Amino acid sequence: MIHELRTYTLKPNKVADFIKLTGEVGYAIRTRHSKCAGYWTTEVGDLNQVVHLWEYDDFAHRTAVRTALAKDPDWTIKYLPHARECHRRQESTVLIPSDAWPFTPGDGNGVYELRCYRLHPGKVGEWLALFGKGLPARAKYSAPVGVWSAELGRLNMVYHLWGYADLQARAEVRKQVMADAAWGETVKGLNPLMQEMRTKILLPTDFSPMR
Amino acid sequence: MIQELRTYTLVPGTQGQYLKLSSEVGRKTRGDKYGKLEGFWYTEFGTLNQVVHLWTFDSLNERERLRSELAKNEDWTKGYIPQIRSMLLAQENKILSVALPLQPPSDTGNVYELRWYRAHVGKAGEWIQLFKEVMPAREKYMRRVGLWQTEIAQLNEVVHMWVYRDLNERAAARGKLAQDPAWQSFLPKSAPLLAHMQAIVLYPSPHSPMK
Repeated sequence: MIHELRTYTLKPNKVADFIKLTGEVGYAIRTRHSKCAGYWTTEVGDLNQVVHLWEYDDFAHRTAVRTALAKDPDWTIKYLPHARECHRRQESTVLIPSDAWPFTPGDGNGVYELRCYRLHPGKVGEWLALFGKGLPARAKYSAPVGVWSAELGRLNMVYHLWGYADLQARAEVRKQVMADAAWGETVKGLNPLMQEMRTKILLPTDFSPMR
Repeated sequence: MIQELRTYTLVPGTQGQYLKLSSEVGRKTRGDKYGKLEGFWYTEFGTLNQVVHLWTFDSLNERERLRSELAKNEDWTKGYIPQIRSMLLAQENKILSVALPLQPPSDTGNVYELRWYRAHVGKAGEWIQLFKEVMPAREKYMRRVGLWQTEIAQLNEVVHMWVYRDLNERAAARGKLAQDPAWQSFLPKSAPLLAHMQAIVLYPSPHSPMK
């Protein structure tokens, strides 16, 4: 299985229109073709974005889906021309699920946090092994939805996604996590492998399968 | 001989129309009279709504002369440029010096991968030497199109391009490469020379000489 993470930056005055259009028209058409894992808006970090995660068996499956989609008049006529009026920038990256933690779609969360780290070249394998080994200690407080490495776009990137009831719950969990000695050792090992760390807070849309 | 790689980011939703104009008007006007077009592609991952094109010139002086000739061609300046200008969000170019000769594939219906790495300052030459040494091992699994060092724009940068039948073949070839002993001994020498790595997948446009 592979995931595709698509990030669209919308025109700031068009975010509400885009979500309404996608929820009422686009989402049902799109998911006739393949499975959506989650669909969010950004709350902290880069604003006016939607972030969506798609699931495919492999690259050939993805190519077949995208080809069929481009020929689906419901998509190309009823949805796309209107959606495009809202788009400012579109980005996509392929994420390879890591053995560090099995992909476990979140359920009943109010907020999600997507963390993206850029590592020193060649350090992805080592980072994932160390992170996977340390995660059981971290998971006592909260478990990740998934851990991935990026296959295209900016390389040497790892992504991980977390769900929380709300931002206060996130703060409390992270406070406990920081105080955990075993996790502290893991972080000490991970830090020298990394160049850059970014995070964004995501809110699930009404139609997101992951909530 | 030098090559120039140009990357244009388009307004979302204009890619189809842009490619049509570029093929039917721009390409017809220019032919190879103002620099030889080697390939013309659009992006599928990374930043979407981008086109990438590769040109060959005898020298930087010849490039300058041809560009000033092109600027005098009214089919170009009045017949083409005004039609596409509003579709362009950003334009970026780089001048590449050739490290290994360009090898356009003889078959069609391929996907291409463009990878570019920023080396630590002063380390690009050393990396290219190492990469050339391991090239026979890598080329057992995949077809190389080109290898360059960036001469103007982002410095300390190396660029390479690969061609595959499709993305599943790419994934399989990269899997086999990762198991190759020569490649495995290259990686620990390569990684410390590099600061940042990026890769995108490119699909050839209808008027691309490389297809």
